[in-house]
Amino acid sequence: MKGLVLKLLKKAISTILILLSFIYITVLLNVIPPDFQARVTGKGIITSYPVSSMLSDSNEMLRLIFINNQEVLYRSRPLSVYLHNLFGRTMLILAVGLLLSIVIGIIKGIIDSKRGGHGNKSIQVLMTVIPISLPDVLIIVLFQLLAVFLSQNGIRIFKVAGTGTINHMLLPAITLSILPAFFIARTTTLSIDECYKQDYVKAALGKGCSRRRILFNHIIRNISGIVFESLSNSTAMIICNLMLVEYLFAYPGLTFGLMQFFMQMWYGITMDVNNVGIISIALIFGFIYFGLDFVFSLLKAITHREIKEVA
Amino acid sequence: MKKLNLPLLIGVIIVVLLILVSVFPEGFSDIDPYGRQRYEYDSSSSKMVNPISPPSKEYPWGSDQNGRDIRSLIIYGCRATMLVALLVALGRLLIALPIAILAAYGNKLCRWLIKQFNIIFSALPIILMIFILSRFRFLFDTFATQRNVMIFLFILIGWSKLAKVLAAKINDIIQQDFIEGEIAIGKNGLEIAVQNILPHVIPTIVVMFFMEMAVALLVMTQLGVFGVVTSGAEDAFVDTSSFPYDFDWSTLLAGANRIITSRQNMWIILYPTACFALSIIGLNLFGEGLRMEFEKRDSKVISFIRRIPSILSPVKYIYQVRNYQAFKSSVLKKSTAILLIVLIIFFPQKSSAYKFYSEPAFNIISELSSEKYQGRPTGTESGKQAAEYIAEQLKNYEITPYNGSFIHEYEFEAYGADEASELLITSTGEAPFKALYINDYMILSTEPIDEELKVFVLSSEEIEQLASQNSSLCENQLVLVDIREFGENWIKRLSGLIKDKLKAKGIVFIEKWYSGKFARKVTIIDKVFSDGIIMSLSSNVGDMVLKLDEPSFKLSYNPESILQKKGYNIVGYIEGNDKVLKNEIIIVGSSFDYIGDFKTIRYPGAMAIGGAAIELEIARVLSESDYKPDRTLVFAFWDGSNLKYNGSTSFIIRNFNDPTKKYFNLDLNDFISKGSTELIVDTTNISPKDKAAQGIIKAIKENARRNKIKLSFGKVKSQVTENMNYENRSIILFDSNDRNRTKMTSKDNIENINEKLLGRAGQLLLDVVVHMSGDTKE
Repeated sequence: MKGLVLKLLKKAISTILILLSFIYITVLLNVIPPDFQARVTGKGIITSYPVSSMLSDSNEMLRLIFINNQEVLYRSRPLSVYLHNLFGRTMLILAVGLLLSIVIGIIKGIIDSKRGGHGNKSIQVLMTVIPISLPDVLIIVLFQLLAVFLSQNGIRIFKVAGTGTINHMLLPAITLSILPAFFIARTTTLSIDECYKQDYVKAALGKGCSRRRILFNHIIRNISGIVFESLSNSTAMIICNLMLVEYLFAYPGLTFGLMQFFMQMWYGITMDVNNVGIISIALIFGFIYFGLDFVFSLLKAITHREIKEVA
Repeated sequence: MKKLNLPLLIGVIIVVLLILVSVFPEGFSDIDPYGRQRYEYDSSSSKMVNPISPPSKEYPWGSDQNGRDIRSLIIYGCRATMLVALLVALGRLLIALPIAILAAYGNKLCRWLIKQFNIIFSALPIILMIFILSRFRFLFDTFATQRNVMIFLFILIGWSKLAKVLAAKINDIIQQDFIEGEIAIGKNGLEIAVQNILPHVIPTIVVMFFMEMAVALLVMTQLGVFGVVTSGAEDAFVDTSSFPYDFDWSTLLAGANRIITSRQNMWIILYPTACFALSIIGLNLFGEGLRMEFEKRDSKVISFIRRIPSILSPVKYIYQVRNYQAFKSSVLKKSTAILLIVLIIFFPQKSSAYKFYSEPAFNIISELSSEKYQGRPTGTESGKQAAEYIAEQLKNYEITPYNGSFIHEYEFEAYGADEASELLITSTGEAPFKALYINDYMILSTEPIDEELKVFVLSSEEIEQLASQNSSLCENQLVLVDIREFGENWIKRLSGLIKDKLKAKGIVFIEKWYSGKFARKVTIIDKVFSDGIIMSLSSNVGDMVLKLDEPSFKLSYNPESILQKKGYNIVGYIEGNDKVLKNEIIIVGSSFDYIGDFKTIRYPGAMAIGGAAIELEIARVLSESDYKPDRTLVFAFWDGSNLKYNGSTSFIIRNFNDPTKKYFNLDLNDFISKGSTELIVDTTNISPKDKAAQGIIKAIKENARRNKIKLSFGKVKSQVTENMNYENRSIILFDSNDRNRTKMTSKDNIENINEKLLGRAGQLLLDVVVHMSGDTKE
């Protein structure tokens, strides 16, 4: 017990340290001016911007973000309120998208797998590799073309560039679910095929269990942990996908806010709120990553069971 | 029947196609990718019509917002795209492999590195990471081009994932029994790694290499959508208007969000993303197919790959030739292949119809860059003399004068020479120093000055401190700051403090330029300071002032005044012989004026007159031979290229603006210094639909290969393109690069000219002119 507590404590401290480093590095990277230069001369290292100023700017930024965030105003309201709304909308399509991806992915994975049969390996590879090779941009373009086609035929269920109704959220959420679904499908397929090679499955088949029973009682139970592990490995990809979906559909989530602040800086509008906004959103994305990673790891730990030898 | 490895087959087809398109883009597209369709006037709606065109016969894959043909953009962009993916995959492998081997061996530092890099570069989305990191100028300064910066960032962000996979694989191999056996026989770690581990890891490496290329392409699509490009743009961010010349497919995706949300003109991003998809699929299938082959025990592909070194071995070839009877078939096949390669490389080139001689061109440069013409400034007597010299040459060549005269005068307004500035630097205990205007210092002021001002030499900390105290110490005096190590943002911050808080009359910067080097005022004094005095001291004079005790500047300056002047264009022509084609006018143009000598400083402008020298030699060669062009060929020498009111605009608008005729402008800029390695060609003023103009571009490329001239495509600044954007006018501009940066300096003299390269460039341009004018002899 003592050992377990120590292990958990060590893990917690390590995670907190990583989080703190991540926060400070993110803030520092954003505070360093773009034209920063450092040269080694006879008199030592000469920098184009005093390092002490950069560090104090970083501390000031951290203070603004975590302590005095009500001081920073955006459109006459505290920036934190604005970011809170963006975060809510982003989490909504992320949650819906992930849920859809798990369902679609597992179903596709089951369909693609040989399920103990003798399929053509080449065709199976094609069916799994081609979908995961599609760039998310192409998927978005194809879905938009579909939306245009439906709209031209009187079916206006998909709306773009806005929020407030489920129709605005539908297309981004579905698009967001596609690529992770393909990854889950591929992992599911490979895991199912591996499971079917196990002795206990052969024993079950030999005992006369139906394929459906084997699939639901044995296979899916045992692959669920692997599915969550694959999600854990794809967290970074999911977040990149999320950024793209929000940006291309002009969905008013975190990416929308991020690009607004970036564009203002790019056009020379130098205000504190732009810097604070960019850093805050970058940190939020980092927290989403850590959060998702934690959730998937937890789900994996809960659902991953030792493969039982079933008579 | 053996099962076909479909993924490998499809992968090979796609990869080979990508290689062919990358290496021979001209074979897949006749249209130059840089040409733009101009806005056209639609009389029915009385509006200028956007050049965007959906897929059609003229534009098979449509055109983009600026009228560029999407298919040729994709074909020509393939090389840069694949190059980035290749370099990223290679870079990641080179870093990941040794670290993975060490990590698998148990090295804690390597394991820690892999873990930490994975955590750091996973937490922030790669898009955001590259957004943040690509801002830093020092990366650009280190890696020279934007593409190199992006490749570096891609490698930095992605190597650890690859290292993790390789470390796991290597660990599996190390656990094998045969490794224990190798240890038992006394092999050390390095020997085991090289002789035992690597051969087993090579199949994984090969598979991962292609998959890493696919991953790099995927990231490029994501970055492209956000406008963060990998190609040779000046800045990492691009929108549709600032299109870089060294582009790749991700450049074509900038502006994707506007297209997708508006749901219009979707073809603009559909085709580039489809090509990305095809490439990623091809590379992934190739990798997976290879993996499937490597897993087979009796793979024919693997045995073929193993035989490749033997097939290519010259030693084996010689042995087979010596034993010809036994290896007849193999010798015949290899000899045929060798012969084909030799023929392709050494195939005799068609010779030029007319020969260009570099010596006469060199002599013209020597003459016009001599002291006699005092740097050929527009609106002066020496400028007029230069014009008369050129007119005399055309007369000697028996070229027909345009409208009865070679020289065509025009009037303009210009600033007078700014000589009226004096600076005397005084201090306690030191003799006064008279600084020379332009040579030692530059000054900008909207008001005349004639007074003595105290100079406060302050560091940035002192400025901040005085500003926080609202000190009036420096009020109405000068503040001197050494900004040689400062970045632009910091300079702007200090300038603001000095002006607003310290209320100084002026600010003096010590900058990195050295006394005696000509530089445009605007490139040195370009600081944020809306009124007051701005001065820039050269580095050496600045160092001197820093050592003085309580310096003062006795300064006088008169802002420049405006004068009425005259410029001289020289124009002659050879009439076309074809009844129809003679109404198509080829205008070969170049500028002959320059910035002019300044007091004791000579500015010969040898490169600047290079274009005119080549043009004169082309005129001589063609007029002295039996040259009978189909189209009318005009030789024009423009004045005023260094001024706002240039000679070409007024002349072309008055004389070459007939809407019933077609005009091809071929404009020559600066040729060719010892620091030049390539010709820069600007084809952005050519319409993709204009087949004749596209044929000219093709001829330029072919003649460049024939004359062994390296071409690069870019933006060339020329007065000819100002206000010249008409449908009936095609403009191609030529310039040469200048790696030694002698342009606009005293070093641009006759010794700086590369005569051999001048000859080859001249031959190329002569061949192009002959092709354009359609001479039947060719």
